[in-house]
Formats: sequence, structure tokens, C-alpha cells
Amino acid sequence: MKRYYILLSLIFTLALLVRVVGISSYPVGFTQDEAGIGYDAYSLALTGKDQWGKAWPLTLRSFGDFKMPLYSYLAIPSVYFLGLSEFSVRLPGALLGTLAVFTTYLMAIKLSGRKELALLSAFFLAISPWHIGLSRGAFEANLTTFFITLGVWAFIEGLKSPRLMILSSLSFGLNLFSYHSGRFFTPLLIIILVASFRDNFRGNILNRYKIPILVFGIFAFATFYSMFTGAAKRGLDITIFNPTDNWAYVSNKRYGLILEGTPLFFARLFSNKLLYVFTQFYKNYFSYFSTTFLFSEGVAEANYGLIPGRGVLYALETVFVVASIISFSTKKGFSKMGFIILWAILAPIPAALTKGPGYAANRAATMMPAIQVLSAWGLVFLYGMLKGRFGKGFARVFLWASLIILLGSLALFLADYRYNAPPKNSKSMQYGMRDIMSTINSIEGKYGRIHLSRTLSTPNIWVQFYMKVPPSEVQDASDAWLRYERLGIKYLDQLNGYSLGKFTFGDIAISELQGMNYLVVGRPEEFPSNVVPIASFSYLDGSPSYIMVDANGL
Amino acid sequence: MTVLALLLFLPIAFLRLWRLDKVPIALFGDEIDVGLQAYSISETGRDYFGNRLPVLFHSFAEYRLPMQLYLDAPFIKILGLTELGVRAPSVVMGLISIIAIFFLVRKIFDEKVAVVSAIFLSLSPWHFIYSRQANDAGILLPFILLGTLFFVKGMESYKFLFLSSLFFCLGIYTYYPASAFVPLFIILLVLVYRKKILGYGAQKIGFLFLATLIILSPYLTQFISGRATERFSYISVAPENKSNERGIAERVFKNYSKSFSFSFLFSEGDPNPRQSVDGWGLLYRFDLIFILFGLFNLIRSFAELSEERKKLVSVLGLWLLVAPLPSSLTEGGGTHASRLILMLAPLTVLSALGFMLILNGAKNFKSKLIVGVLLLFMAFEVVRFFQSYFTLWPKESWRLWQSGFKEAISFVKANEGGYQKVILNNTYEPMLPRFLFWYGYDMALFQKTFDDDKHIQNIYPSLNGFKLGDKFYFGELVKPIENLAKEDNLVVASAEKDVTNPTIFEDSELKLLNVIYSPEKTPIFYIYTQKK
Repeated sequence: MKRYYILLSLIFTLALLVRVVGISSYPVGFTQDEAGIGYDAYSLALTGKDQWGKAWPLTLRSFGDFKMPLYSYLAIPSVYFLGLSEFSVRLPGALLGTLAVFTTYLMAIKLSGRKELALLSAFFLAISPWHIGLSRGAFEANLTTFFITLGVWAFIEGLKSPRLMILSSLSFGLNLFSYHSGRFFTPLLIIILVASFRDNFRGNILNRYKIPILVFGIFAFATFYSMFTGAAKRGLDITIFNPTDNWAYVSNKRYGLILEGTPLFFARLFSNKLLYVFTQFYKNYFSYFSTTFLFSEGVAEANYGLIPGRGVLYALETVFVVASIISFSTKKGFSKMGFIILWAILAPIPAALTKGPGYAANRAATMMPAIQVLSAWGLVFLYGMLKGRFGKGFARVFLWASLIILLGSLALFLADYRYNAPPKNSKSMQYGMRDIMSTINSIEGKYGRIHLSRTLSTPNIWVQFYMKVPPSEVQDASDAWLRYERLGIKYLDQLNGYSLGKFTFGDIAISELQGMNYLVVGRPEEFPSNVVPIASFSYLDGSPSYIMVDANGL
Repeated sequence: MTVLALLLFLPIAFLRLWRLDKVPIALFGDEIDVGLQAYSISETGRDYFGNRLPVLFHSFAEYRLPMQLYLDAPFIKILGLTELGVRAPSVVMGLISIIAIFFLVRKIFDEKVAVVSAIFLSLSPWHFIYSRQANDAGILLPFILLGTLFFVKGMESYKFLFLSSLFFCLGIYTYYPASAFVPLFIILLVLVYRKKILGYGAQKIGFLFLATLIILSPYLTQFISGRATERFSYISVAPENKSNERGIAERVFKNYSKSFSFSFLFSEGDPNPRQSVDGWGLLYRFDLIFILFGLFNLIRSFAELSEERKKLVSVLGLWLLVAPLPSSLTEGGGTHASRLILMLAPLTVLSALGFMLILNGAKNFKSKLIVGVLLLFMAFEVVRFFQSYFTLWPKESWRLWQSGFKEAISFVKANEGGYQKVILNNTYEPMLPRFLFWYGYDMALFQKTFDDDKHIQNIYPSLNGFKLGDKFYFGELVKPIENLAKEDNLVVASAEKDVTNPTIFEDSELKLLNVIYSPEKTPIFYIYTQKK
């Protein structure tokens, strides 16, 4: 008994260390979304309003992308007490990521009744490259692992004591505000959860669980309400029903068919929007179960601090996952394994509905920790099988060898994360803004105005974040920014020429800037090639990022 | 049954023969080479470098395994130097693999699954693509299917093992990945059936071993001399590509993982447009559902199968696991549809099995209705694939098939009479093999007169290249290409490499005789001379 607690605390400590140590520098860079989330937390902490002046909002307008608010709210204490910094913004994510390891243990033990499975599940999540990667940044996607596992655990406990059911409602309710895919997935999860435990519901359910139902009802209502205040906007904008190429692929194929003499009816039948959407969904959905995503290539893009070219699980886990599926097919799984399998199957649906190349580990974060529990079960199952066939000694050797290889894989991953990933990821992770802002800070007194190009993507947020502009100033200024909406522009940074104090943001129009006492920051290619910059910046792979130019010299 | 089989077989064969000269749009380099070697061997008994009845054919680019080239010789003899003549062996072997899979699956499961497997194989994009182009991959598949079939039959009756050995060995003579796959697969087969095989006794096993050795001896002598491994090591993981710092094991694992990936099999296919149709994986999307279902059920019911059936199913499973290994050892082998062709057979069988399970599971009206809708959807997808294959794909992939040579050289052949020299561009794509093929050059003469295709500076004024006889010059046209135009010269220039400014044909001394266009109406070749 005692041994389990020692092991659990060891796992927990390991999880904490690999999630918290060095978060201000790794993942390298700091993305606009992290800065946006952080600044809204700052704004809420100091004024009770977001940067647009909205009091205690249910969605954050942010850059016009309408972010889910939960992360910003969770970051209020750390930002308030530790000050606005990369560390204080990333800390809540890292801590909740660590707690998720513990709640995974609780959930797994409640579901399966097996301590060894629960411990291994916690261990597999603790060392998961996918989960470590998402925990170390201020990434909303990561919250869901904690809230769902807590919710499931409290739900099962709540079957006995209705008071804990309130915690479950609260947890699932909050998850509705964690991330788009978390919001979409939560109701699906609740349905399969209730279905899996339907035998435990007897008597007057409504009466027994009236408070939990009420609590969740309030959250559900708030979600529904917030859908009409903009949250649905980004949701719709990034779905596959709204392709980036504006259906050009479909019409090109159809045109090709017609050119070859296909009758119009058949050309329409063989190339149409419905078929296209279906194909996209299918492709995206199964990309999350692809061997390449899980074990060998991982994510398509590095913008969430994950490493492309490395599976979201360890290569060794191929064996465990396959064993796990075999055990389920042969009805040798653990109790409620069906629930975990259904969870894993349903989880990528929201991710599959969004466009992009697929393989987006952040959107599919709802698959965690189901996939780790399955992987851990594979190890337990194989151990049992080997024990039955070759004896306990052999099985123990196998178990220890597996654990040692996994720890070795963790070490390799951490080395990769620390040394190889930064140069590759620095561009996607928008590395360098801190340096640029501190350089501006040191010389801005000499200039009448500082103009930041829109290529700094949402340039205002870097000023707000790194110069710690008082929220009240931003709220005053952002009143005027709202005109982007009236102009029919989707995102704030597509607006040309908005300003904050002496900072202006937008295109770099050389003719208008020439000879002014301005400091201009943008990509090298935005300036004439003969310009002499005051300062140049580059990414960690050595490629140039931005330059700073005195407009007098243009 | 025979009537049904024939009824099924006719459209399957028809689909493989229909417009075979037009789709794929042109004979590309490797296909030309097949035809040319077959032509050379059928005319002179030698490969085009003059080696008599070679085990490995000496081609311009490499040493080639002989199977397809010998198979093609009679077809070239009968059908001439045409697309049909070159691609006919692939069609025939494709049809044989459909028959072979029927008999193999009948052995493993039952007749129904066997019929469905044969139909699924015949309609599968992967199989269809390789049934209609001269590629060693499509030729290999039936040999391995037959080798496996006769191995399994050999567990009942010893004599079949000789046939098994023969077919596996012929596979090794067909395509390089087989030389890794066959030994591995046979070791596993022997392990599965170890009791049975040991029961045959040392003498019988010895005979079999000897027979195999004899069939393989020509190959082995070449192998020992190092020729056979040339191409394989060229593409193996170890050398080259220093930019990829990861270890060999990791790269092999990555390749292996890719070959089982969803995107390779079901959505994107091979990145090479010659080996995949845009918008299609190598299998149908519905195959995924069936394969998963089939696999799930096989695993679930495995323990309840008879000992005999267990072994047969293991053979299928081991085949699937081993099939991607040879390709994994090569650069880019994770998504290489040709080198991975052997995956197709077990995947097709699993898909057929899953389909039959679903079909049989539909007992009541509601589930039958669902199956009906499913069938309709499948038919739609199949029709849609063939539509893409025959109408869109030729146009989309013309560049990789290198179309235009046939038209250009046919024009040269028809008009060369009035000229003393014909000068052909050799920098766009290697021109010589295509010229020999479409011109129908006398191969005995070629073997006698040809020495080297290395470019020599100024072999002719304004041309760096080589010549064939006294008339035909191949090489890099030195700019300005107007200099080559003489009254007695016929020049074939590449639009991409030579004619960067087509307006030169408007007002100069040049006489433009013909322009060869791509299906997208972009020019490929300009054929010109000087105005009289």
C-alpha cells in the first residue's frame, strides 16, 4: 500500500519537474496567443475587465479570434502576484498539467479498480512528449486533460455521494470554456460516461442530482449565451465548411471533368462541396489515428512548442497500443475499457472538423489521457500474458526493461526539446519579441512615434505585454480599434493604422514614413534593400526575423 | 461458377486494356527501357549493350532484373514497339494475380471471401495503376501470391513445394525488394509450419534446397559479383543524405510507420503522381472500415480457429508485417507504392473479409438497407476513381510521364529523308532510348556502332553531345540555338531548356516545322530548320 504512494509521489514529482523547470525559456519564444491570454489575465486582475473593456467576459475578443476565457481566468492569481511575465502566464498551464497526472491516476483507479494500471497511466502521462509539450506553454488546449479527468473521477465518486457530483458538474462546466475542441467534446464525453454507468442510475435521478444538474445547466446556458456574442465566429471560420481556397479545388476538378467531355450532371456528382467536406473530415479524423502521427512523425506544425518529426507517443508505445487493442478485441480488457476506447474514438471529431493539414496535437488534446491509459494497459496486459506463459521472473524483466526504455526515451525527448527543437521551432513560436521590445524601450525616447509592421502579427500585443501598458490605457485605445469590425475585417491586425499611445500598427508605407522622426520595425523585405537598420534580429536558426529602422534614414 | 467467373473476368480485363495506349499518357523512361531491351533481345538475342541472354540487363541507367524484359519480348515481337507491346505483360500478370489471390484466399478462408478478394483486388486503385504500366512491381505480385499458394498446398502434398520454390525464385528475378522479402517470409513460413516440414525428413528437404539453389544460381553468381546489389544499396538508408542526422534504426522505423499510415494508404497515396492518382489513396476509403473490421474480427476469433486455420491466418498476418520491411530500408521507401506493392495482397484480403462479415451480419431489413446504401456508396467511389483515372489523371500527370517524345520522334522519322543531320536535345530528358524506341532503330546496328553517350564539347558546331551513326546527334544545344539551323539540319529543341524565347521563330531565318504540345497546351518541343 505504502509503496504505491511512494511511487505515485515519485511520478508526480517527475511530472512537476519536467513541466515547470525552465518554462520561461522553453518552449523557445512566446506566441501571440500566449501573450494575448496573459495580457487579458493582467487586465482582468487589475481592472476586472479584458483589454477591450468588457467586464468579466465569457469569451475574450483578444485579436478578434474570440478566445475561450478559462486560461486567462486561471492565470489571474499568478499574474497578479508574480507580475506579468512569460513565467507567470505559463505557470498555471504547467501546474494544471502536473495535476492532470494525479487526476489521471484517480480516474484510472476508479474506472478499472487496478492500482498498477492507474500508476502506469499516470506515469505514461507524466512522461508523454505530447502532454509535456502542451503543458509547458500557455496553451488553452492543455486544460482539458485536467478538467475531464477530474470530472470523470468526481462523476464516479458522485454515484455514491451526490455532493461530489457537483464537483464533476463544475469540472465539466469549466471545460466548456477551456478550448474550442474541449467545448465540443465535453457533451460527447458526458453522454458516453452516463451511458457507461447507466446501470448505476436508479430511482429518482433528477431529485438525487438536482444540484449538479443545475450547476452544469448554468454553464451550458452560459455557453449557449456566449455563442451569440462572438465565440461562434472563430469556430465557424476555421471549420472545413469554410475552406481557405474558397472551393477552388472543387471547381478546378469539376472544370477538368467538363473539359474532358463529362456531362455536367456527372461532373457535379463527382466533384462537389458535400463530397469535399466529407473527404476532408475523413482525412483529418483518421490523421489522428495514423501510425505517423502517434509514433513517428507527430505534429505538422511547431506552433505549440511540439516537435515535428517526433511521434506524440514514444516509439515503444506502438507495442503497447497494439497489445491494448488486441486485448480489447479478445475481451481481455479492464472494466470500463470500452469507455476509454470510445473516448479515444470520439475525441478527434472536433479537431477533424477544423481545416488545416490535420496532425494538430493541440486540437486533438482531448484524446489525452485516454490514449495514455490505453498504452499503459498494453504494458499491464503484456506483463500478465508473459507472466502466464514464461513465469514471473521473465515478466518482471520485460516490465523493467520497458520502463527503463521509456525513461531513456524521455531523456532523449528532453534533450531534443532543449537542444534541437529551439532553432527549428523559433520561427513558429514567434521567438524574439522580448528582445525587440526591450530594444525599443531603450531608445524610444528619441522618436516621436514608433511604427510596428503588421508582419509582427498582432503587433499591439507585444507592446502591451512586454511594456506592461496599464490596462486602462489599452481599454481606452481599443475603443477606436473596434472599427475593424465595422469595416468587415476579421482580425484586428488586418486593420491598417491603429494606435496605442505613441505606437502605431499597420503596413509600412515607405513614402509616408520617409524623413519622419519615427522608429519603424518590420521584416527586412518590407524595406528598400539598401536601408541601414539600427538593429537587426534573427531567429535561432540564424535566419533574419525583423529589423529596426530610423525613418529619417529612409 | 465458371460462367460467373467469366462474366466477372471480362469487364476486369476490358478495364485493363481499354485505352492502354493513352492512359497513362505516355511511355516514361523506365517503360521505354523495358520495351527497348525486349526489342533488342527479341531481335538479336542480346541486351542493347550486346550481352547475350543476360541475367541482368545492362541499361543506360542501371543493371535491371530480367523478368519483365524477357516477358515483354514476345509481346514486342507481336505488337511492335508500341505502348500496348510494352504494357501487355503488366496487364497479363495483373490478371494472373487476380486469379492467384482467388485460389490463395479460398485456401485460407472460403470461396466467397476469395471471390470478393479477387474483385476487390481487380478494382483497387493500387492494383489498377500497376496493371497498366510497365513496372516490375506489378509483375512481382502474382509470383509471390503463387509461391505462397503452393507453399500452403505443399503442406498437404510435398511436390507442390517445388512449384512454390520456383515462383518465389522467379519473384527474386523480378524486382529487388523480393530479394529481401522472400527469404524473410520463407523463414517465417517455415517457422509456422515447422512440425510439418521437419516431418518431410532430411532427404526431401535436401532435394528442395538443391532445386532452389539451381534455380537461383544464375542470380547468385551475379549477386556475388556485386552487380545485383548496385541499385539496392544505392537507395538504402545508410549512405547519402547527411542532412538527416537521425540513426538508421529510427529512419527505418519511420519508414515502416509511414507505410502503414492512413495518409499513404487511404488519402494521399504515393507522392509520385505516376504511382498515385491525385485525390486518391492507394486503397479506397471504404477499405479502411473493412480492414479494421476484418482485423478486429480475426483477432477476436483467432483463439477459436482450428489449428490449420490459425496457421493460414498467421501466414497472412506475417506477410503484412514483413511486406514493408524491404522498402523501409530504402530512402523514401515509406511511401513508395512500387516497393510496397506486396502489402496490397494481405490488405485486400482483410478488406474482403471485413466486407463479407458485414454482409453476412445483415440479417434484418434495417441492416440490409444500411448495407444497400453502403454498396451504393462503394459503387460510387469505384466509378469516381475510374473517372479520375481515365479523364483527369493523364492530364495532371503528363509532366512526370514525359509525354511528347512519341510525337516528336515520329515526326522526325517521317521527315528525316530531306536532311543530312538530325540534332536532338538531350538535356530535357535522356533522348537516346526514346529515340531508339520510337524510331524503331536497328538494334544490331546499334550494338555495333554505339560506344558512349557522354557529352563531348562541340561534337558539332554549337552542340555538346554525342552522335549515333553519322546522322543523329544528341546533346546540349548551345545558345543561340539559331546557329544550329542549316538547310540540311533538322533540329528538335526543348521548350523548357532551349527555346526560352519562342519569338525567334517569327521573323528570323528559321523555319518552324512543328511544335509538340502538352495536354495543357504548353509547348514541349520545337522542331525547326533553316528557311530555304
